[in-house]
Amino acid sequence: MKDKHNYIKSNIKLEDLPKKQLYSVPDNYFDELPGIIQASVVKPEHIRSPSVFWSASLRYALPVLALVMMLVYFGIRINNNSIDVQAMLDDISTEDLVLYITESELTTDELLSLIDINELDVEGLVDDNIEILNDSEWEDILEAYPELENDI
Amino acid sequence: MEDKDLLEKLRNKESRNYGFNLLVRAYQERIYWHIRKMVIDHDDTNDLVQEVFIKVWKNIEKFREDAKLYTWIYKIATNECLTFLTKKKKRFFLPIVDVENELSAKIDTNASITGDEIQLKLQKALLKLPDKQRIVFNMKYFDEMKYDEIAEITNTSVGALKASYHHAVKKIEEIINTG
Repeated sequence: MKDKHNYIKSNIKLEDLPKKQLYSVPDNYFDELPGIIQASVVKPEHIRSPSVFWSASLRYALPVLALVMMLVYFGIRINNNSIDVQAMLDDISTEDLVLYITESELTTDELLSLIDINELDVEGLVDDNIEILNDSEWEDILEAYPELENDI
Repeated sequence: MEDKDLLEKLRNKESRNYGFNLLVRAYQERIYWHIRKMVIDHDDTNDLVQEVFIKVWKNIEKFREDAKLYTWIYKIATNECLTFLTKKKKRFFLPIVDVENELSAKIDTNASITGDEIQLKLQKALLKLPDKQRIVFNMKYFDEMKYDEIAEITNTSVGALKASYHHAVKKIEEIINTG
């Protein structure tokens, strides 16, 4: 014989059960949900989409970037060329230089104006075998050859 | 606020955002619980609720005013639930019983689910029903909706719904009483 408890327990009708809510939600969930959903669907007009932003940037930035790159490239080339020119000059022999200067239409004064001579340079140019004349000796030479005075 | 007032705001460009906010606040809880009873997990429910309202936003222009706004939103939510559960079964190549066991385990282990033994037993018994039958049962038993409304939401005849609900009740009672 079934005991009363078991009989009742095994004959439950759905309509007799209370309708209870078993599930819970995080605090403030329904307060925050509308804002979250609104943010998903509504795009503010003043904010451009990334693709529009980037295309505008590329439109203006690319030509400037290209110009800068060209300037850098040619700048490097010019520097390289200047070094090459110097190296080329160094390769030219002294004899060729003298020949060039002699055959050029530059006057002695013009040549001297191109050169920055100071006392040290003069001392470097002096050959120990060349006799240095003093003032009185110069005066004797000038008396003998007055035309030399025009050349000094 | 009545549906027609909400719709007026939604169809006006200047008040659309405000109208949508009002709509979400008006229906979010009903839609949430409708989905939650099906998918059990809060995070899954949260994702689906957002999807539902995003679809409402995108398709509000297509809404025909011959149906109630609430019914239309409920229909979207129902479809999202069923699609989600179908995908869940396909994604992991799980047979139906395994998905049932997975949802049943959520009832046992989820801290946000509490209740006495018989209530938990009822929830687990519901998981044994096919998804479509379960959703009809939920709408009738828990939400106390009319058969006409459920018919519109599920695109099913009133007669078929009555038969489905009757069989669902018998099956659940059997499970509860023999479990």
